[in-house]
Amino acid sequence: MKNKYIAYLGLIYLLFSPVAVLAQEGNVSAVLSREISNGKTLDIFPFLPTVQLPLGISAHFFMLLLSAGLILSLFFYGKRHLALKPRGLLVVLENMIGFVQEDIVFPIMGEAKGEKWLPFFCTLFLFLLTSNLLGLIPCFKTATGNINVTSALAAMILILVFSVGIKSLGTFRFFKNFFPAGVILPIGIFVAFLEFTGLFLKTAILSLRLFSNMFAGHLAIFSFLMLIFILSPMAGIFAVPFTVFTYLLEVIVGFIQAFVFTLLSCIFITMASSVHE
Amino acid sequence: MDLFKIDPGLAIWTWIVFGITLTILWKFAFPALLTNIKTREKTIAQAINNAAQIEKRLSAIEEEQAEAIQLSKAQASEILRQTRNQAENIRKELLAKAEAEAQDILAQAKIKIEGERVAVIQSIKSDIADFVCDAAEKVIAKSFVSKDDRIWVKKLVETL
Repeated sequence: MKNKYIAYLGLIYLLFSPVAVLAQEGNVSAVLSREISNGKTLDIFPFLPTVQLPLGISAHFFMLLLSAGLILSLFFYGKRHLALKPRGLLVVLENMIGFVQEDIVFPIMGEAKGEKWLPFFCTLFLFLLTSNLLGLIPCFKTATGNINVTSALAAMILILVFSVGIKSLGTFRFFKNFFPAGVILPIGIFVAFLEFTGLFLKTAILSLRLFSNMFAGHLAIFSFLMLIFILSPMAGIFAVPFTVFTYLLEVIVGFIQAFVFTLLSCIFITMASSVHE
Repeated sequence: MDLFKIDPGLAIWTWIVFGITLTILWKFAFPALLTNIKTREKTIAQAINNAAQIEKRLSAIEEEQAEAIQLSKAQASEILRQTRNQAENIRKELLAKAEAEAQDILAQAKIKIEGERVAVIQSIKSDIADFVCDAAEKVIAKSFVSKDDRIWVKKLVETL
């Protein structure tokens, strides 16, 4: 019972530690900028000196490494505790794999092709999910709230779309796919242009969607918290519940965005390797 | 704000980190995990299949059991019917036999009663004849009744 209260207090402390930093510094814009930007430091604990990241790496890169480390740890823990009746973290891991397999990859790609691609989409989903959720730990940062990270992942999907499409259909047929059948040439060229640019736009939107959702969510949380310092301490009566609500919403958004990114990537890659009617 | 600043370094590092993670997982973790999941799925599918077969066998056994019960019921009711018929026949036979015996006993009794009645009447007549003779002797105070007369009186009484 006592441990439970200590855990609750710890959680509240962690959630509002940026406020504590703010209270310490008294400069709203500087703290906001530091909290959501890709600096070279992390405020692990308020009232303690800021931690300088080693080797001059940026905070978002550090969060990417942390995500990768967590995923690898989870998988190797799962591998070490393999059993026909899974327990503990293995249940979580297998459910994640099962979710990606049954709700994303197999319905879109089919079982035969899906089995080959399952590790890729599983890793992508878990990488995004971990990055999204890690940012919700106060003082940590969201790597997916940086457009360079999401663009890199979207660019990887674009490259895969081209390479898979060309490999499975051949260069000519892949590009011929952009031309609609049975229309006159000028319209065909126009549609092909739209389709081709659409492919780039779709992947760009993939990147922007993830970035904007994660960035906006964190911005909303900080904005609510800062009302306390901008308006009055009494604003906390409204600001704190709103912050908690937005925080919980962000957990759901983190899951949904990882799902949407993985699902759309799977659709784009599958579409690239199939002949359009 | 540096969030919107183009940072090719971070993009490349994102690829590298993701690529390394994917390679390690693809090579070392996924095969074992997916095999385990497949084995479990197979085991579950086999268990479901076995359960379905057992259910099928059970339903077949239940059907057989129901048929056997129905057959047994039919046989039991047939046996019961036959037994009832036999019992009824035996009862009728016994009743007929008893009636016949009763009739026989009754007939014998009637014959016996008739014989006894006749004997009693005979005896009464003989007694009456004797009485008449004795009475006649006393009235006339003389023994006039010889042995032949007595026989004659008796015959006379018997003809009454």
